[in-house]
Amino acid sequence: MHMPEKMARWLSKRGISTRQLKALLIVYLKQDLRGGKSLVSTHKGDYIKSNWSLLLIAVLYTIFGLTVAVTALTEADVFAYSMLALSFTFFIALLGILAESGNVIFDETEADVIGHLPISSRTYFTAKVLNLFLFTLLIALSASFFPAVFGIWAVRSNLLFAVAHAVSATLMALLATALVVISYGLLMRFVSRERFDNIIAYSQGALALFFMLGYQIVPRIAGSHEILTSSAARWYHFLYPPAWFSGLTMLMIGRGSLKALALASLALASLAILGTLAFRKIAGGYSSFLSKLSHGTTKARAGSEQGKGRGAKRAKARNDRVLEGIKAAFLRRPAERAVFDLVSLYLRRDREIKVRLYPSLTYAVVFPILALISEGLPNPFLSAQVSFYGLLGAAMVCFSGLSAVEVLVFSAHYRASYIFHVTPIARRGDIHGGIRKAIFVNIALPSFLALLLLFGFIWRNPFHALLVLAPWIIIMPAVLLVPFTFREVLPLSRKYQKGQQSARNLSIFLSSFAGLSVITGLQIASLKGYRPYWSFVLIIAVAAPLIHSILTRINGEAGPLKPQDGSEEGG
Amino acid sequence: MIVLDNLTKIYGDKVAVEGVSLTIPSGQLVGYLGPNGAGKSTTVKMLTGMIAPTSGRAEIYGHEIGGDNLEIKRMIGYVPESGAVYETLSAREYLEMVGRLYSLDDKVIRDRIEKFGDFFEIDEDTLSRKLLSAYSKGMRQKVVISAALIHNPRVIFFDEPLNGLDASTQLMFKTLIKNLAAEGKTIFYCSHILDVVERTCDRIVIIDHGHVVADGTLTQLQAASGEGSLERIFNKLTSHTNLEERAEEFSKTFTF
Repeated sequence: MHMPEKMARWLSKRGISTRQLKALLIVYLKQDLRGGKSLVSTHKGDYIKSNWSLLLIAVLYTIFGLTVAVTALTEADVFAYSMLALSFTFFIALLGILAESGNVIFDETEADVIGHLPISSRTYFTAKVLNLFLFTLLIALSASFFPAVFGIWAVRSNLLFAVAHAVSATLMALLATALVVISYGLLMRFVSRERFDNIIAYSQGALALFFMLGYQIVPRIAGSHEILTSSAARWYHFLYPPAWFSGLTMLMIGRGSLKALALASLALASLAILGTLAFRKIAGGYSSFLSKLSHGTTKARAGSEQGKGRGAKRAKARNDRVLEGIKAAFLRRPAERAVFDLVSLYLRRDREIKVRLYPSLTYAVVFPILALISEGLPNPFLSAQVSFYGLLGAAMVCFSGLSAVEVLVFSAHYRASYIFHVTPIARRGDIHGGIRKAIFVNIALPSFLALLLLFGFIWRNPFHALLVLAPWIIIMPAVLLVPFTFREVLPLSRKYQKGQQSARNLSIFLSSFAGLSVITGLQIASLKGYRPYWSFVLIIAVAAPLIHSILTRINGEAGPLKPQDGSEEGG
Repeated sequence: MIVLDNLTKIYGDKVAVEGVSLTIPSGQLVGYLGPNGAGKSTTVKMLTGMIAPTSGRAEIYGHEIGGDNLEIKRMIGYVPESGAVYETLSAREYLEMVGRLYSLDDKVIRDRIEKFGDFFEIDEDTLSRKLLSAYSKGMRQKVVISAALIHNPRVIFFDEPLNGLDASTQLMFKTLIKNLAAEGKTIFYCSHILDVVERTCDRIVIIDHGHVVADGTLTQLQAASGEGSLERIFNKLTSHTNLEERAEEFSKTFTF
């Protein structure tokens, strides 16, 4: 019997149909790689609008990998170097997979397409996991390309390292996929449908926070000469997954030792345990969970009105009137207000939006926490030391806002966006303004408030905290205009494709990093006393409205919406 | 044969379908009617194994709904109201995928796709080279109907199948389902279009607020209700009275 037949039988005994699995995987791959209307053709001149996001991700991560790879040239020991490179791969793969997993694992729109087809839950689950794994693999192998090549020159290394590192990175990607899938799988099992939507979004944020903090291990390994040049066994290697796979690499390049064998055993055992857990505990109930997710109802939040006394109702009505008054002043045009309400509701209610957005909201908190752990986050007005990472937290609120604009472009309900084209909206600025203001109110303000509380509590001086954050709050509206430059942005108007969120997050991070760093640098200089702090605040207070005004003109916010190109719709 | 016994579905505190009991013999074409939100689609989704009933039972050709429902899914075809497809595939690719998921041979799949293409007048270029995202609603519906029939199912559930279809395709479709029923296939046809149900279905079931309020042939329903047309019977049974007066009153809203 041939190997594929044996494999098919083995899978069949476990409730997985190889034929169905292959059919599903082909479809998912086509979906991931394609965009637009036409198929590729070399003889009739048709073209395929490919999903360039995946290519962009591969290129960017390959370049990022180079920054880690050069460490090999600094007399790094091959084990420590391998651990550094795999740490980098592990955490960026986890963050990447987190940004995409919601759209792959919880695609409830699929229920109507294949929910009635005779596909076993295990086959469906396997197809989903493999689809997600291929995406993780793209990230892992891109990030590992240069480290694998440069690693040949590490101390005690040899030519085999290139292949061994690629194998370890592949297995590491599998571990990252399994970790995320199992986290969600367990959540599916233990949380009711009604609570799932909220919990999944917050757990997404918590996981991102955890992985981001974990990622900070990378620069610490790279920056420690002692760790990088040592081949000695340390107790923490046995608790740290990238070290396990480094042990595997050591065995593959012929540098086997008892320590390497023990670490490699841990690597393989972790995969076996997670694989068994996934297929024994999660795969069987996956279809029925998705069905509940697709066809269940979310309870309306009307219950809060019931049971309230007349006084409480009157107070609520009064509050509503005040809130309406503020809204009317803040959002003067009806179209802008409509978009504000739409976007605000989606930011709060829509699982797809929340799952893609919430991980990037954690960046604002990660950096101050790191600063707190490593340098105690000193008060810059009372100490000679100014924490760059602490201030970077405020800059990251701007990044979160920019990221939110990109998140809001995509939605499973993209067909409904026709409404913006059939209603008489005179200014595209009304739509853009509604999006920006909703992001400011729902994303930026709560994030700034969290930082205000954090800084105020640690420094025991809320006024100093406000002084540090004020320039960022002032510049935020101008920053939020940047994504609208030279393009029209309609909320929830495009169908999501694999990798777009990761690619856009990376692009925004790279493109905004320089500008945000300049502002952070100027703020640090002012806080260090190179110039009076009030002058920095004054510069921002003058520059922000100026930039806002220039960008508003460049963006043509006063002009009408352009007609659609029809690329997303049929005739 | 399809048997529904006290089938009930409750979402939170909302009862979508309550105590529906029906027996549908092989080869019968049943029209399942009801106003918006009456529970039609929920009934179909329970029978296709897409959602689990809260209580009661249902079986299709001796296989009880529950568990993974794979045996049931192998013998049914389903046209969803949403007309959902994988839009980044061509129609051919989509139908090939569905055929493989039903474990059909590639040759059988190819032959059937050709037949569907001919029947629905979809040319080869459109079938193979145009992505479904670029199809019109009616064209997409033709593909969804083809996908539901590709494995030659014994039972077919149609949920508003005429959505977006042009007049000539509707006519062909009506003839098609009559012939399928004549061949012994059981057809469960959900629709709002009373005219089509009146002309094509052997039996009519009307559901309102999750309950069956009428069940029989058109003649039986006419005799029981004392009304002539299915439209009048439907409106009477689903408590939609004074419709003309209400429409007239509402139209005055637009007089400025």
